Amino acid sequence: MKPRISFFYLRVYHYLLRLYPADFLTEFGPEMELVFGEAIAEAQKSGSTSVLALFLRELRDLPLSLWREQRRRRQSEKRGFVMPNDINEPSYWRPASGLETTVTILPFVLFSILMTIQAYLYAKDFTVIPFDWELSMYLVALAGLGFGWVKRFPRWSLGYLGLALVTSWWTHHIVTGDFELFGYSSDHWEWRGWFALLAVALAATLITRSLSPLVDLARSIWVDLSRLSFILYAALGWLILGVSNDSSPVALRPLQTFIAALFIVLGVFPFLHLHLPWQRGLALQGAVNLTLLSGIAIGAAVTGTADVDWPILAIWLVFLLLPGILGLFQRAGSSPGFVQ
Amino acid sequence: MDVQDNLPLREATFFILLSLATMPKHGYAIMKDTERLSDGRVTLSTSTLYGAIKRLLESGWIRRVENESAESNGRAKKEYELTDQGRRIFEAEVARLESIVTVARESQADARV
Repeated sequence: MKPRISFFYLRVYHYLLRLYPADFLTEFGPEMELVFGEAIAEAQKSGSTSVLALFLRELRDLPLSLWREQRRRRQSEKRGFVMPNDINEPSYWRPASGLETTVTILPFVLFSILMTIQAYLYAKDFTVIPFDWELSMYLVALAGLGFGWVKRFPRWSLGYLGLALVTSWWTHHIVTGDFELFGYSSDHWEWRGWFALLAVALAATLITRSLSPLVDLARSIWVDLSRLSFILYAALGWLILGVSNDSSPVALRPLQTFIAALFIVLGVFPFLHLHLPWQRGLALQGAVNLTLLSGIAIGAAVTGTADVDWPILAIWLVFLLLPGILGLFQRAGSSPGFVQ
Repeated sequence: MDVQDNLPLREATFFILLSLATMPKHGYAIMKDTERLSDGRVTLSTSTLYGAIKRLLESGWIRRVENESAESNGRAKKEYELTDQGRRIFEAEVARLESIVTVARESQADARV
């Protein structure tokens, strides 16, 4: 069997081990890698099928083992036996400082201002919008994502990640006006809309010379699902602002956009200050629901009708409910006792 | 602590203790021993093995020893051995299994008569 394939298995195994709690990894990580390496060497004598079977067996047992160790660690934290005094430890949670709050909320505020101004200009029959707000948000999201990636995805970077993903998707799918990219413009962007995101990912990987920031991101989400909630929140909040009011009268849209944007911005504060993952998940859930429903309510109050595609709305609400539900499985998250 | 409170043992735990009953061993040797003793029926992954080792260490049934003569990458390999408590638990489990087998055989013999 080619050594490169064995090396591949060993490297994947090395990164998978990073999903374990830090104390378990410190105590057993090197030993587990050693044992796995010995097992791979032994299996190589029987051929590539044996090596693959060995690796698949590891993959099969890993999720349950990870869940057990993470649960044991959370139970130990609750009893006070383990202090997550490493601020880089994913389970460590503290209220955000003023600077962190500002950096986290920046894209949401910028985006809300830009969307409200655009809605106002459309309502006033401005045919030429003096700035390309979509491109502006794309650049802000990508810049934040790049810095966050190099910093190994701290909490403030998760919103930028969600925005970067959704604006890339948006660029893929919609007409982007007269802006040209590598000779392609408007409806020809398609898959090229992901170029910028991929370029940022490549640059960050080259700077860090490692994929470990992505492993850290996965591990932090595994430990605290409210982080996934926040990524979804950043992406979906933008989408809601962008599309939910399309069927409303143009004159109403500035007000609807402003109110919806206000809820989006306000939803960031509970995420940064609530202590338990399920609380954070449900707070974000609530903010998104209010964002969506406020536009409908304003439209209904003014026009007397609620022009809503209710089945689609129901699907949105169920999908948006997932992060909140996932957070409920982590009721025993980090407790206030660890806050400095 | 009453030994009986810890019985019956999980199969993986039993085979790990069985493997260590004769002499201290490191992780890979425990894996191979378990597979051999169970005729290939029980194959431990590293995640299962070390999850079990962690529990056994915390319970005080095994202890870690460093074997200076068995080196890997210039460092002494970590081996594990049964503690007195672990040996009592293991022997109690063997006795329990023996009694089950004895009862089963007697029942079968009675059924044939």
